[in-house]
Amino acid sequence: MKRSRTLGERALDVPQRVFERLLSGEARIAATGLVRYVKQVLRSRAIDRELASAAKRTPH
Amino acid sequence: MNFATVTGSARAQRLAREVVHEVSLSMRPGQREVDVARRIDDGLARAGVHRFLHTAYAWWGERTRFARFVDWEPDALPTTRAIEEGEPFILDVAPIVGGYVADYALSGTLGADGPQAASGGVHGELLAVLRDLKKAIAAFARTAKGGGELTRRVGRLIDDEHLDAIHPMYPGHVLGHSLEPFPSVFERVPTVGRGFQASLLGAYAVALVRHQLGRARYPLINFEDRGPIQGLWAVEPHVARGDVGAKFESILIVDGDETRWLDGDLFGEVAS
Repeated sequence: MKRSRTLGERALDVPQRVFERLLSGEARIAATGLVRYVKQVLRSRAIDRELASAAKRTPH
Repeated sequence: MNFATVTGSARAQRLAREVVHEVSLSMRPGQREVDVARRIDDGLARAGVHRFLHTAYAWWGERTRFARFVDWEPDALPTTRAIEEGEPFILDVAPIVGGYVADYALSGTLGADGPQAASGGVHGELLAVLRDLKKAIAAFARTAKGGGELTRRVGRLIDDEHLDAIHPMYPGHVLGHSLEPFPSVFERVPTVGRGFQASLLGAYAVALVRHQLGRARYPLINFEDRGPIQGLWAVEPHVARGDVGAKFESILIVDGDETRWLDGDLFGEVAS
């Protein structure tokens, strides 16, 4: 299954790239990790919405 | 490291293993990553666990080698991909049980009636290498000057087998991560969505800051050499050939001269 990235995730690519270029070591791990965590929350919600809507479409 | 930490972590790891194995036995072709992962989380919830470093991950087929992953955290979330007979799978969960952290992963291949008792072919080869790596890591950890040396030695063994090392794709490029001390404040952080939880980010952020201030050891095993490996570690070598990946994740105790796995065998029972 190929799930497309959410709009929010794409928007967060910019700060992530900036942190990757400007930071190093622990600061880089922490800052990019935080951005990717937010991307994960957005994706997790999108998947839940998708599952909920698929469940509604399925006849009981 | 005190006795209570070891027994508490062993109890947590035993529960994680039990639930993961129980759910794996109910897996059948056609089941989706998202449903199997939820069954693991639900099984832990029934056992009274509501906090996680990360909720359950389930990866099928080519996703066992993180194929086409760009950002690990969102891309690793369980998807609606259904497993087919003969495909490899990995289940991985890290619950917080009574204040102690577990982190357990199981790799297998799926037959028509559930996981195959013995994996053959490429997957069988990967498990044989993981078995050897498990012995080697315990020996290396005794003598390595730091996590960097351990990681490089593990990498060379994987190269010698002409396999791909997948664990450098994990956040922080970790082969392993410390499980203690786990600040009790993070036990109360509520679970949000699936995957990594704020408790994980918080605990490792605090540990990294404390390390920078010279008050704690480096909490990760990756390519950095930041002093000897001591304490309780979740270690997760992950290897692949082609589209087939496999890993184990077990707890390694390094306490003075004592170095041992809580579970000696690959995917075996957890001792204390």
